[in-house]
Amino acid sequence: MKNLPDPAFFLLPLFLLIAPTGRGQDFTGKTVISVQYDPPRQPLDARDLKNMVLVEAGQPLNTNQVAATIDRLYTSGMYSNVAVDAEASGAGVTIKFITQSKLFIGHVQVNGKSSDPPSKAIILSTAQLNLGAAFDQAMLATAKQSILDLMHENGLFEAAVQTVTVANPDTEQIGITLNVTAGKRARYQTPVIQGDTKLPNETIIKATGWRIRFIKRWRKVTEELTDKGTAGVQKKYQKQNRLTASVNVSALDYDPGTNRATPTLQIDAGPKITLKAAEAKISKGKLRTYVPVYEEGAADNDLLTEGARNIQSYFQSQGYPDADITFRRSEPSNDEEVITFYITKGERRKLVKVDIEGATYFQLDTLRERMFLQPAKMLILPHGRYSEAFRKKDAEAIENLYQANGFRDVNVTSTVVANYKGKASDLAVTYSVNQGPQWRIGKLTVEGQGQLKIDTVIQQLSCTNGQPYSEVDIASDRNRILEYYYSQGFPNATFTYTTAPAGPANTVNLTYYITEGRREYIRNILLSGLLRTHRSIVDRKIKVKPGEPVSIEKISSDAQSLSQLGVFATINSAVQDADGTNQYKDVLFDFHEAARYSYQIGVGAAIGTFGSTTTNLQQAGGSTGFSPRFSFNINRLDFLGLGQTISLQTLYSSLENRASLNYIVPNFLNSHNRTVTFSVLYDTTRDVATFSAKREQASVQTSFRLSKPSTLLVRFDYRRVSTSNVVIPSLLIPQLLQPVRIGIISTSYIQDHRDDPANAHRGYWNTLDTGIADGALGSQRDFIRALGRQATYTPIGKNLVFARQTQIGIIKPFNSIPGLSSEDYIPLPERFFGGGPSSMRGFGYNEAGPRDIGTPTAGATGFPLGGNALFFNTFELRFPLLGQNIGGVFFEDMGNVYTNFSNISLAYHQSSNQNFNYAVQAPGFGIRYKTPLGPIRLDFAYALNPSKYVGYSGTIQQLITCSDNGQLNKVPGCTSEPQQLSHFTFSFSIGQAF
Amino acid sequence: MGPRVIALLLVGTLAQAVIIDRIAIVVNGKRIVKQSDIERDVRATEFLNRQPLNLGTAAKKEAANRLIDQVFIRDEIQTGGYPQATFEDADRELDKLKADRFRTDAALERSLSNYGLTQLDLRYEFRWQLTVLHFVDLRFKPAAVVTDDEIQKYFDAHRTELERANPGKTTLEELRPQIENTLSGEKVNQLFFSWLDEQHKQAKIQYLEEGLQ
Repeated sequence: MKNLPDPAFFLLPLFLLIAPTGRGQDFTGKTVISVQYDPPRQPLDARDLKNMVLVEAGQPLNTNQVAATIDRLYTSGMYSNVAVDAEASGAGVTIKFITQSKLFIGHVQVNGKSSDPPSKAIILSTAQLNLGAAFDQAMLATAKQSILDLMHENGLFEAAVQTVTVANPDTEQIGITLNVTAGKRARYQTPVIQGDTKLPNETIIKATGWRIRFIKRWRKVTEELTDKGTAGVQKKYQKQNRLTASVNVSALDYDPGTNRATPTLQIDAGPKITLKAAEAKISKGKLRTYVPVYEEGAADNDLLTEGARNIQSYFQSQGYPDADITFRRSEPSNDEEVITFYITKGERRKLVKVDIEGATYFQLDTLRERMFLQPAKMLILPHGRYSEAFRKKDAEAIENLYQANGFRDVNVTSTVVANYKGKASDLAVTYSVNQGPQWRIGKLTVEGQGQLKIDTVIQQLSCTNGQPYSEVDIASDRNRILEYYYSQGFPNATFTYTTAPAGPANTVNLTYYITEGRREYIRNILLSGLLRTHRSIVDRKIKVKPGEPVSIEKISSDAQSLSQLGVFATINSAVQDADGTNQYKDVLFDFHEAARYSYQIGVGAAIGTFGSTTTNLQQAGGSTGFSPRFSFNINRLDFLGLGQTISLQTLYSSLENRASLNYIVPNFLNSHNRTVTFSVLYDTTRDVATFSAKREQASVQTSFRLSKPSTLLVRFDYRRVSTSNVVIPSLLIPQLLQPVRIGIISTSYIQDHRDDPANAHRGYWNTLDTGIADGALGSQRDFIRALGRQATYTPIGKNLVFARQTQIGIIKPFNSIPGLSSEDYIPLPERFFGGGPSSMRGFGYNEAGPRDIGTPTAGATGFPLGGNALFFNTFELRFPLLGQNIGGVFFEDMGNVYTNFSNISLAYHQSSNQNFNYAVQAPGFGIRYKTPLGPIRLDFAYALNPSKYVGYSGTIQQLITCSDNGQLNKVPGCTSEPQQLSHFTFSFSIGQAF
Repeated sequence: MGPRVIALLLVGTLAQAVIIDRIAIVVNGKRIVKQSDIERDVRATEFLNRQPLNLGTAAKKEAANRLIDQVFIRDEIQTGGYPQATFEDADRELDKLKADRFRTDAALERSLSNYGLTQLDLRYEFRWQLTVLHFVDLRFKPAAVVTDDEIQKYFDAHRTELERANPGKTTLEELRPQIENTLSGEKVNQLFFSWLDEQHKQAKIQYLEEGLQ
């Protein structure tokens, strides 16, 4: 007989296969020999694990503790499954926590050929895969469907989306790549039009704009175009006063054979709505303005009620405080619905007096500035401002102010006196304030501080012993305390308060209770999405560190600081598993790097009185000109992944050609306030009529942001300047025409306290530039240069701004070259030139200052020569002119460019047409049109004492002919003649003058 | 089967790791029901219902469903700030149970022990049941408005039973409080169960122990 194996060999595997549970065995009370984890590496920080696991080696096993531990581990948010097994081990038991970790969303990127729209950013946001959120496989299907819906709405019906995930078990993060293939965008085709349209189909199709006019080709489908199409049809109905029309795209059916999408337009045109006013007159325009049915494209009762309120306010502002407005809708008949506003104006009245009695605690002005009611003022408010609603609101405003200052029992009533002082139309209102006692805080106690000492915060609280009791102050204290707790890693801190009567009358004891909750700390900082950028530059910017309390405020501040690097398109920051109960959290920063190259192309023009280098000697005083400008800039961001930028900037205009190559190193020496810029510049300028200047320059500049308004720039420039196209015979001498090398080290200090740099209303703006050019720096000319500017902006009342600016400049040579005067020692392009829209509006552009007065051998041309000093002062009154967007200015510009600093003079009269050291006075008027870029500016100035000079009236060719014939300065036509700059100048530009 | 077989079986039993507790159900990705919760609920329910202890799958499934309902109720109590019953209230219920079913503390302890329960387990169970009763009352009773018409219809349909249950009371006005109470209770139950149904529909319930589905 065959020897059968022992039955135990069959039964043993059976025992192992049967899912064993603890039902049959009770380990309760047995000593725990060891606590193990499967897998051994747990997602929780070791400190959290120690706090959460209640089962301890050496202690008897308690199943309630096992259950509580499972609860704790799950609520930590880091686990998707937990089981606990027990295994007999000698006389005791070994406990093993078998866990399955959750994964959290990390970097999500969109790859593939996607056609914009939708942009990759929109696709990402549609996917709703949020950084740091717990990952669930179902999220991918939802994201995929949402993206496909988005693509279909944009005509990309053949789009496909694939998802690829990569889990990182070390960080519990899962990276997700959305591979999007857009396919070919479909075009619209003739829509299906359903419903009561009341318009021919062709008209509706035209209004959608889905078909290109004239060539009749259907456009490509985009969500924006579909929306515009329905809006276009809606507008068409609005034009017919069909304000209740509804237009919807109920379907967008795709035909893959033709790659066309057929929209179905569901339309209900509705009746024509006519608005009428009865019983009182109001213009049709005002009715349209105040009843928002046209604006909203609907005529529901809410909008009509709002319209009635607006009309009432309008009549009240016109002196009809009792105006009463009702409306009635007629049943639609003959395709028309009439809505009639019945206006009962009541008597016209004038609010002549608003009195406040019994208010002793506050100054009356303090109360009045919170009130809507205003007595009549001639011109501005001829009937005053009064209505029943305003009267009640004002009483509430006064009460609120008192309550905020401890007057808990304050009561404000108002009485209206009609026929005030016997005048039937006059009204007077008197507010009676019964202040009641002022309640004060007897003692403030703060309870609940345990893990965090908040003595410094308590010192800053609004409520303190002896202060008036105010709920507004308590709310402010609550915010202050909680903000502090949140910033110190207590995201669940809560605040409550109680009051209890204190000993003295009208005094309460106030107690703040703080529940701190769990303090959370940073475990690790995890970065994702850095493809090209060096981690080191990011690390330098992240100030939060592992071990610190979690502070959302600091994390956001780091994210903002990182965005200032300018190399990231978006930066997301989050706390991983933010809602989990674990104390040690991973902080995430996720980056989407910006495109490496960016381009800017600009087209613009300057219009005004300016001169460009010319051969027409008649134009020494400049002429009205138009100078088109074209610019092209290209930037290479994040160069070498170091967050540095290389940019090439070019400008071409009839006045200036410029190309500069800049290498910008932000955060130099790890200071986020310090930027170093290396530049190479080539520039030819023809903006002074006298000559063309060429500048080839290399420079290095460091900027320090000393504080928010203050910046210091230190700069070294080494340049070669040369002139050409010199039109002044007296300047045709070798020393002046030779190129000159200038090595100059300079500093600029900028202090900008303006509220809005593009259009300042208050504050001040100071700048000081100083520089020294010296042989030691490789300079062929030695001089110092300083230019200061001081501007202030003072509001006058609500609408006016008084602005003023003073500029003063000096160039002082401290060496000389034989044969050159101290004035001529400074090369022409280095001198001060002035005049024009931003310095002195009484001159054309760069027309101020000394001019060519000729030599014994050469006649005077009268062209500007620039000077070694300048002084300009401007007073400007800015005021609203027309509506919200058009303003005006009156100004008075004064000053000039002077030969030398010692020649600065404020004299009104020019002593001779060869002396330009006097101050030109130019009052004027300007118009400003507000735009998002700043105001567009048109200025007209009238110089009271324009410069007189001597100059030729012929061309340079005539001058050469005169010279060849020996007739120069001898015969008429070859002789310089006295001339004068124009009294009148105008300029057109963007931005305020200063 | 010789001594070697018995020894192996014994070793197999002793040395084998067994699951002593685990997550059985996850509700809305936030709340869990553990295997130990289900077993305790089965034991407590069967003890209170005087049923023999049966930890079979059917009983566990029923308990699992009850516990899922309780998750919704707990969440609602927490977010709505509804009050919890006190242990004093629970002790009163425990005393009532002792008086009704057990002559001595020892008898109660013995019976509880047979079901794998302790008095503390019962206190928690009673406290929770009282909390739920309060919650249902506060949350749904205000909406359970009984109209005169409904009272009249109920009176007409159940007049005989009402008169039998309330001797000496025959008119609508005399029986109104009883009818109102009954109808209001029915409506509260209706509202409560439809709320629970709604919660189930909206919830994402994940069974980690598939046998409970």
